[in-house]
Amino acid sequence: MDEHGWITIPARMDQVHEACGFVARVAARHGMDDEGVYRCQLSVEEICTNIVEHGYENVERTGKIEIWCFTHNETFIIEVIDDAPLFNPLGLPKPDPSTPLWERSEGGWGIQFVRRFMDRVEYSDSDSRNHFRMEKRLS
Amino acid sequence: MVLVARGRIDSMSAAKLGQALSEHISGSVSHLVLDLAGVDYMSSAGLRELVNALKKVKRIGGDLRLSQPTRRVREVMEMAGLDTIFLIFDTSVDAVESY
Repeated sequence: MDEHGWITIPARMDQVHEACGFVARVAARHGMDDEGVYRCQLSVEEICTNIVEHGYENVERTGKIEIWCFTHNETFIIEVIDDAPLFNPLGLPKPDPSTPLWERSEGGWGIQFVRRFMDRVEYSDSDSRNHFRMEKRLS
Repeated sequence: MVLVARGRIDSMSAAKLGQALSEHISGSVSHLVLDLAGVDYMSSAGLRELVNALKKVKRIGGDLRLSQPTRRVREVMEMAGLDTIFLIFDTSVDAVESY
């Protein structure tokens, strides 16, 4: 493991920008280009927003989200960890972009953007916590 | 009516966009144009507000048309298939004249 950094935020919508800003700063410091930084930020926003809106929706409001960033073998790695009920967002059905306007439901696109914007995504429930890992090559 | 959005439309700010659009969707037919030239970031929360606004305005016989989306905004719209749901124009003038 090379350089790393982490932040813990309260699982509240008004704190998600802190996570995005943190990831953007660390990614830039590790040599990620502007487009890559943008993609990392948007991915972290989508994951954290899902955790706030759905993960902690019916449980205690004092939940927290940890965001770890580090580089390994020229790959920038972001790991988002939370203690909400275990749930794998990668198991959700993929929304269909050809769905007509009136049949469209509210959500489902955020995780698709994450899949597209990152080179690799992975979920695990080790230690009975939700771990969402995203990888993006630096070059 | 042309509305101009600027900056970052994310999970924090998307509701403001939705509110601004709703305020211009009244009982009368609304022909709206949203200029997105100044928006350099839009997450799924922003797209959700656009879709909700489009449904609202279409229910009363109007439309919400978009102009000048930046490359990043256009990319997420295309990924979600919204480039075929919304009418999108190169300029706000073109969008207004399309009504």
